[in-house]
Amino acid sequence: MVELFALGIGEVFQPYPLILLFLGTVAGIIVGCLPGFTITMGVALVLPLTFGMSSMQGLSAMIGVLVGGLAGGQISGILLGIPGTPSSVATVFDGHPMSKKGEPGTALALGTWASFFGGIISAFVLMFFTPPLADMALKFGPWEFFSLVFFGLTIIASLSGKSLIKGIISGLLGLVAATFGVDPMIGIPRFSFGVHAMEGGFSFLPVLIGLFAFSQLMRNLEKRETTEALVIEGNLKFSTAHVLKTIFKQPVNLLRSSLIGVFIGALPGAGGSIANILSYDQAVKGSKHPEKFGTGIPDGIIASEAANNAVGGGELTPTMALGVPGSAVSAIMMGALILHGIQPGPLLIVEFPDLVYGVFVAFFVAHFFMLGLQLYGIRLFVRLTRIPLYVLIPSILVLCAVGSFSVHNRFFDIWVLLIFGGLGYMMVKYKFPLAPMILGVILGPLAEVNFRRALMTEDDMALFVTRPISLAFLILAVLSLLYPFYQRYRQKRREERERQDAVKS
Amino acid sequence: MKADKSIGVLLILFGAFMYWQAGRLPAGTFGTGGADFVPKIIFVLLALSGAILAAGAYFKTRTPVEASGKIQKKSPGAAAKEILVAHKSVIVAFLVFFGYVILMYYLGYLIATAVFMPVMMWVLGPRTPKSAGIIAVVTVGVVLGIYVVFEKFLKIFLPSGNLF
Repeated sequence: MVELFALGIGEVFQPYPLILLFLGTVAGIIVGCLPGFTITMGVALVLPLTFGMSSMQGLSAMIGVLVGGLAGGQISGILLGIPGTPSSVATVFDGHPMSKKGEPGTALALGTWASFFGGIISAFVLMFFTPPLADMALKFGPWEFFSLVFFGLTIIASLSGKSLIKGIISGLLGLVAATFGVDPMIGIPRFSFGVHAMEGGFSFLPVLIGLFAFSQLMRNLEKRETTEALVIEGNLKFSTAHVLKTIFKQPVNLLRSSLIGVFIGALPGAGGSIANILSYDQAVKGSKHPEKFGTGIPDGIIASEAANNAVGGGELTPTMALGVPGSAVSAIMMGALILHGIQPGPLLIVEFPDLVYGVFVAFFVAHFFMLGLQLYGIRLFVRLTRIPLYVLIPSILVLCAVGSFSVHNRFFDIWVLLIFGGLGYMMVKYKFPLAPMILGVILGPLAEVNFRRALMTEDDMALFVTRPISLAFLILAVLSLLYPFYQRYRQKRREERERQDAVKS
Repeated sequence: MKADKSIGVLLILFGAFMYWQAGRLPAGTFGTGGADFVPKIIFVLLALSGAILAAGAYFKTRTPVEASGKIQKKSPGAAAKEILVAHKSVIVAFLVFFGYVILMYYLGYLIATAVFMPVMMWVLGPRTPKSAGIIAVVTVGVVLGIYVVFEKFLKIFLPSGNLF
């Protein structure tokens, strides 16, 4: 392992990947700290820039965006009271009150250091768990792979929105989009409707940029409020010794939150938006002074930020080991690998150990960049939150169009961007989650190839349920579909109990 | 939600249409399932999900008052007007972007973007002398910045325009 890690260091510690990792982290923090702009959007917009790069350089830039974005959300959360990304919602609960009490610098430093430690803990998990997981997956046949992908799709559909059926429909729409184009097994063009450009199907990138960037920009237009007046102008100074002492006084909180982040991140669909709230909740439950939460105490900031950056390592683990992404962001990274001609999956670590270990190293290094940038460049990022939307939106729209075109130098892709941008906007408007759709687009061909390969190998559907690992994944898929019903049942019971208690008192 | 009923019906129709389209695909030459096999499964599931969505919305919204038909319904014209007013900036931005794409198709990246940026900023932003300066600076910065990064630095081509 040490040799392989050294191989990864050799890949990353070169001027170009390091610069790109640094710039990616800067871009991530910017995207993170701007309310309304998501990490997924940032990674999607960076992807077209990576075409002219090697796969390691491209992945470095994207890892920078991921790490920077996960941590950057706290800036606007703490200073404005508006979380920059859904991963920083719980940071606002204590970060903003602490900021209002005149300690915005300390709040930001606490969040940044907690993000750093959470991320580093998850980097170790990523490094130590990916190889054995990939090793195990090497024994999978097409039956197990199909069932695994099916499980991934069902769990993301059931976890990423309030309505199970809307999550499923979103995932199915992604699968529908993936059926357009050349059949992956026998090479027949499908659903081209006589349009030559349609014979190749929809390119992944314009679909992605349309769903996550274009539609997001349109949504931002709906609520064009200026954030300038809300920024807290306080003392951004802090004492590193004091901040570190505060964090190390809470080793259980830090470790528990980081592990929650890793675990939630590894589950497909359940990303940072769930991890930070869950770990905050656990911190409240495990605290000796739960009543102080929400008043501006460090415990809440540490819990939320450690968990949200730990998600990064968690979600990259199944992506690198199995080729099954844990979130929309890692799905994009997987798409980037495919665009570079590399097929993700358990063989990745065998065929490209330099790349996989390079990703591990880049993930570590990005956290150091993030730490330095957020602690010492905070004033610059605060200023960025004041850039008016009328300047940002047109600039990013141009980048969307150019990025979509650049995949195949095909104008048709800009129309694809427009169609999927409109579709994404309507979907969010009518409360359909977007993450299942993009996973459907990415995992659709993988599911189809493995399903048909399984049937071609042995024309017996029963093998999907008689092979133990395949059966286990299918059972998990069914459980994940049943989980929302169980959750609703529990909520009803709780409400009933509360009503009875209220009547009694 | 009333919209869910319509979306559900749309999904059923779309699923049925695509199923029919899948049926016209040539069958595979070997093994189980041709090119139409998996798409057909997906379209059936989509139509079924659409039916569940529509049915769920129908039973959820059929309150006694609704069932009695006593709810005052807005005319389609009034409802459309309401939507247009509420989403004015989104619709305008979408149309301006649509125009940009057409312009880019004929005139290429440089000219189209040099026109699109100020128009879009003018549509979305405040119309003051100060903002005019900002619009000019940002337009030049974005047009040239993206051109240099993509064409010169990353060697990625930008649309050159069909008229040239």
